[in-house]
Amino acid sequence: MNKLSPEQDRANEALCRRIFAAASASEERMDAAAEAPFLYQRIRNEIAQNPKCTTATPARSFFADWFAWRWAGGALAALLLAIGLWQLLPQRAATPVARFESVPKPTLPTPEAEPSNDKSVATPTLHALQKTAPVRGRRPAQPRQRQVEVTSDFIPLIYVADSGSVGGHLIRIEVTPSTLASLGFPLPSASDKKWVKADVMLGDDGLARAIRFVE
Amino acid sequence: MVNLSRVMVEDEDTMTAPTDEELIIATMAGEESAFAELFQRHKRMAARIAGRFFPRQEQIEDILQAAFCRAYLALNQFQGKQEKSFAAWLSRITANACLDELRRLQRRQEDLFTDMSETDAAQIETRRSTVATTAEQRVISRDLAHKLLAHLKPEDRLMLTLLYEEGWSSEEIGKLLGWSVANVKVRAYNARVKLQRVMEQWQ
Repeated sequence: MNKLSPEQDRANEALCRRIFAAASASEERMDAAAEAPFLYQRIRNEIAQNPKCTTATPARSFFADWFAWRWAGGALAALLLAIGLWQLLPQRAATPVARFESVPKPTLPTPEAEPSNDKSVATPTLHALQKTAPVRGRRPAQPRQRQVEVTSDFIPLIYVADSGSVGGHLIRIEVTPSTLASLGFPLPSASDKKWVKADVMLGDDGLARAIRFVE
Repeated sequence: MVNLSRVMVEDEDTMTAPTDEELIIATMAGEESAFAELFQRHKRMAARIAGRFFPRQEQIEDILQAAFCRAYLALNQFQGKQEKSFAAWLSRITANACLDELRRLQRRQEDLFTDMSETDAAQIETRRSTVATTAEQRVISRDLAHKLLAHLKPEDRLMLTLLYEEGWSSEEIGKLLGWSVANVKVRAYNARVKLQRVMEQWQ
């Protein structure tokens, strides 16, 4: 676009001002438009029809509120019905799965060594019954207070050389106190029990290496 | 909450009219008479702005209706302390309504006044040097001016109208249209040159 000289631009601006002035409506028409009858009523009607209108909308009727509450009540009833049906579904029993855990090689004390009193050594436990399958429905109630097992130290049954490559498994057995006494084992504190729980450590060769008592 | 009727009664002795801000608060509280008072106060100002763009009375009324409806629905966005006044805020809303109407007219091909006859071309040459004095001449000039201005973009037409007819500053126009001041000046210059080119084509 060619650049106008300052004189040309001023002349052009004056001409544009005249064009815009000529395009303007007359004062009479402006006044007539401002004083048009029912103009304010038209504005009010348009405002009332506008969904954004918040202050000019009339108060909601009782029936409108009733319909809203009816929808909310229906949704609540459907939710309660779904919960009830869920509770009525047949509960599927958990499938017990026995699992042996590989345990590190136990450190067996030598005959002349004192048995270790260190309880912090990782003691293998047997999860005899462990639920692995997902269970639908309500879960069985868990005991509020978890039972804590107290175990004695492992007592070697036979002398095994510390080869460093011996693994093993841990199985839980129950023996009578009289059997223990006949084998020369010290009875646990609760000797009046009918059955005494014990963990027997089996080596890879199937021989029992050590035993500990569980209370 | 401002009770407009109570304000009017309490101030009956002094006859102090409520301010625009008080009327706005009363309107937002649901008092219809307060908005009616706002309409009465500012309708002529809005009609004057609309009349700069549209010659027919029905068009001006439509712009008034759209502008006041928008203003009512956006009253909660009016920030009295940050705005200059309600009148300035309403004038911006009216200008925006005019811009929307100009854009709508530009999309409708049948409402474009871009086709000039040979008579129009002759009138242009005549009107350049003379001032319309009679009513007939004013009508001819108005029709001719609208045909010329139809060649401008709606934004440019709004900008020049507010600049020349309403006396808005470049800053105010830039704020309304989202332009910088420099952009307003450049576009005003280009729009003037374009108008001159259109007139030269018909001479």
